[in-house]
Amino acid sequence: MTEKPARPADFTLSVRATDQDVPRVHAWVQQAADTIGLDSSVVFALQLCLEEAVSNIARHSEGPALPVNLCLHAAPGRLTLRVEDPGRPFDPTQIPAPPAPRTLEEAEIGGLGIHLIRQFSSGQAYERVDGVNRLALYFDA
Amino acid sequence: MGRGRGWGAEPPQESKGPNLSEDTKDPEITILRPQGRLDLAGAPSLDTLLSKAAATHRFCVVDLSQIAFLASVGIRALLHAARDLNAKGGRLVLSGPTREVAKVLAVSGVAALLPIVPDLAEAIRLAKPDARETG
Repeated sequence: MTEKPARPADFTLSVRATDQDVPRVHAWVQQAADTIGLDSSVVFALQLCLEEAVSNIARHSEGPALPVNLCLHAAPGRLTLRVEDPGRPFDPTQIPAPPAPRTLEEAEIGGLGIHLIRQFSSGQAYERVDGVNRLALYFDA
Repeated sequence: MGRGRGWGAEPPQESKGPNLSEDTKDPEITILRPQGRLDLAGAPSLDTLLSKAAATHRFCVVDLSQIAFLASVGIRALLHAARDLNAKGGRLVLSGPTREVAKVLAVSGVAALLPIVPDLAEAIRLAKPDARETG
């Protein structure tokens, strides 16, 4: 049974920006989805965007794996996913969309993660506050 | 940790990567049937098998019907294999993606680069016209 959240609910998780922590992120999304009742297509979109966002932070940071704080805010009809990391300033919303490859040889993966985030979320916002990258992703639910 | 409503038989944190199988009765074509999630945890297994397949075959079909999740790391594995097969005059064909996986393939541009068909038998025909499914 799928029920839309009647009241706002928040779910939080702290992980490290490593590929190894991504399964924990997926499990956290599934638990939240089970609690509030989300369609599988929304779960897919949340997990895809989070995998790409966290792996992007891992790829663009140097030194030890950065802490990443995640918050999923569920309100009726709308989900907001916040991803915060203290790494160097990086605004993914300003990365241009990769050109559509015409041949297999041209196809590059760079920038694809951000492209997928744009396609699978309904909106994105970025701000840099007190040395922290704050990415907000919005989803219709 | 109750998890009464999931969308897969196993919760994601227990994913150990896709289970993979091959039908190789035709020496030039291989059929891969991965199961599970092509995410950071699961895609490396498919990448390894695709590399092996591309080293020993010219034509490859990947049946995606049992794949519940696809991220950019999985796309990377598919594109690498497709390039390797193309370089030796072969081809990679994808079949049976679920709706969400098909959307990932479409928006990432893969659908414009690789044949993707709903049906496995059609995929085998496209990969190598004189092949027959023997599995």
